[in-house]
Amino acid sequence: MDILVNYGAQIAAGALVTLELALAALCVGMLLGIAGASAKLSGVGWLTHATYALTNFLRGIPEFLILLICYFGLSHLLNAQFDGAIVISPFSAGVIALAVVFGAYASEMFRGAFIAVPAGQIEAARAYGMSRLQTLWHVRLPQAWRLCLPSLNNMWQNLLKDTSLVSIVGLEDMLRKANIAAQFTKQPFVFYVTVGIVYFGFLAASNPVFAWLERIAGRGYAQRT
Amino acid sequence: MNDFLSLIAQSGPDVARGVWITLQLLVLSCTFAFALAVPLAVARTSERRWLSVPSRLFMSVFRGTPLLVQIFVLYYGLAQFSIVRASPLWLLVGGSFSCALCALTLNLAAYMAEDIRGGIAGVPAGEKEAALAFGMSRFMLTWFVVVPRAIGIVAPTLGNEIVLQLKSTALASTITVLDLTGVARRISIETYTTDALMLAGIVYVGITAVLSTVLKRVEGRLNRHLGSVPA
Amino acid sequence: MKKLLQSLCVGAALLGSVAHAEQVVRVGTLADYAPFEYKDASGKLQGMEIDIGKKMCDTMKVKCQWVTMDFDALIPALKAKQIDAVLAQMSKTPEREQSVDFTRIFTTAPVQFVAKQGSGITDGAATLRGKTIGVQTASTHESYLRRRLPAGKSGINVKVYQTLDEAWLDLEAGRVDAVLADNTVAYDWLTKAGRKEGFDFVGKPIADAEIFGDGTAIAVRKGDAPLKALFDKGIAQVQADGTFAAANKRYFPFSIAPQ
Repeated sequence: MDILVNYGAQIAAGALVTLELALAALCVGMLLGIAGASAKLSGVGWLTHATYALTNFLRGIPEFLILLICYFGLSHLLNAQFDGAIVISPFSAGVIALAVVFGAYASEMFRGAFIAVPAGQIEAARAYGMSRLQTLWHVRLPQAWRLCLPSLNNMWQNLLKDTSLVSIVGLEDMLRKANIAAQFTKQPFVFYVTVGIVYFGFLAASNPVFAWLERIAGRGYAQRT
Repeated sequence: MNDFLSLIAQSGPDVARGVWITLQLLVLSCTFAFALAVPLAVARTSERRWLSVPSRLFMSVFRGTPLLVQIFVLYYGLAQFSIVRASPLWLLVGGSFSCALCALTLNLAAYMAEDIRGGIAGVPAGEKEAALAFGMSRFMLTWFVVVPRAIGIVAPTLGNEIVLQLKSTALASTITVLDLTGVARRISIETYTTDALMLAGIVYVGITAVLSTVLKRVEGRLNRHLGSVPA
Repeated sequence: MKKLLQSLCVGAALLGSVAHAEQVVRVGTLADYAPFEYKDASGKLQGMEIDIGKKMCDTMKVKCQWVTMDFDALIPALKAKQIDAVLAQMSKTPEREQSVDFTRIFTTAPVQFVAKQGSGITDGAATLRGKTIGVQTASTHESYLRRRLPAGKSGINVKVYQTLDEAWLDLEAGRVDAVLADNTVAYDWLTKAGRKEGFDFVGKPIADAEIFGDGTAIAVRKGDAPLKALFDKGIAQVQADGTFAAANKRYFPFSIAPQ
């Protein structure tokens, strides 16, 4: 147990990196999801079909493989184009890979939620002279958001679990710290179980947060008892 | 393009072997997970604490931690203890294929059990009452009425889980299993390119498409007694 | 007056920055290859090559940034300009020289099998039939097994690990029958853990200069002659002033310098 104390600071630092990665990927992924949903609902034929094809494609490839392609492939590509000026770190590759996958699933989720916003409200907003962007921001998003939250909780939890994959390409997150510690001390069980417990804690803590968000977003809607 | 074609020609047999391993992992883990998930879901919804608490714990742990961590705990973590190495458990977690299969099975079982639990809750009360009125015992009620009905209800969701499981099998490559992802990584390392990884991606999408189509057909047959929904 | 003071300050700052503008060299290495490079409990990078490397960088008057990754990611990272040099016990082989340039050789290590005593495994191909051998990914050892003892003909099952430490763990667990590695790293593991469990070197060191090369060196990008020359200078310096010898003695009871 005392070796755990020795490595405790390391694991804690790694846990912080895990959270940073998850939050960064969440932000970028949400933006991609909204963009994807807008593209699917835009009515522009080629855009809709291309977006559907892309999101279906991304949902069919293992996240792990997407990560490997992002890390090794993008480095190669960027090097060929920019000659070393832009460098892809494991963190950036992780954010891109996880955000892209999250965005593919989120686009479907947002699409469903956007459709559920009454068309009358959107027509009224346009009649008032709001631009498409203003309509999106002030009318559609706030109402769609409420409908998204349950699925969002699920997707966030999957995202958090997928951050463990980025340790394989060298990100100094919790799991990689555990790997190094386990191999050095020859005590893998303690470290991996500890990391498992920390992940469990993060995921368990997400549930009350989302319950609170649902409560806030549900203000102004009659309680269906 | 020429490089790509020569890559396919050179490593074709390895990739084919990789696909075979991936499919084995998929089919076996889904089958065993389903076999495990049904009793697990029944235990979870049972009124007896000694059944519901352990199954709840199992489902919590395996759904609440990353699959990769579960794999490492089973593969490297358990191997640390000589008691495990000497026990029959070693037959399961000793080899990398069987260990990966174990992790994938246990993980999927937890998710499937949760889905089936939802299905059990959705079985119409009228059917349950009718069964009891006919004089069926609780055992018969559970296993001949509730469970088949629940599985029928959640069949689309279970199909979805199977498609998702294909992606999870890629993680077996982290413990030296030469599945499709493992083979693609090896080739990618030897050739210093990512062509092999992208080829593997295309193969996965292909398998997903075939799998989705097959599962839709199966769901159609499973629920054919419900008739088709009018447009 | 104010303008004069401001320009003097800017001038001083510029002068200062020019004086401190050192070349930054990002050096790629491993985090789990004791005793050459490893991370201790506080996460600090330690080891023989780190000690020597730091001294080299002082001599070369460059600022070295250490970046850790798995062995198979080192050459791709070098080519993608994520790192500028590789110092990770990488053997100088004709195959690798097609992709990168190497400095002069500064350590050597024979390659040997490590297995449980009494297992009957030696370097003879007959004793290896039907056995599982663990190797590190992208290593010369993996190449050796793939090219000289291909699975179809030799009946050997090769298990490739991301790190050598994982291979040692599986050797202890009995998942692999033997590990093929440089005998320097193997010596360290055997001394610290392996011998207690009944493992040791088996058979003779394997001679195959084409696959194993003559020794390890520092890798730089193809065509990066200035950095290569700089490192050559650094290597010469640590060999001349005794830093190498002292580090060698600290970690090994035998010499690992090239003959």
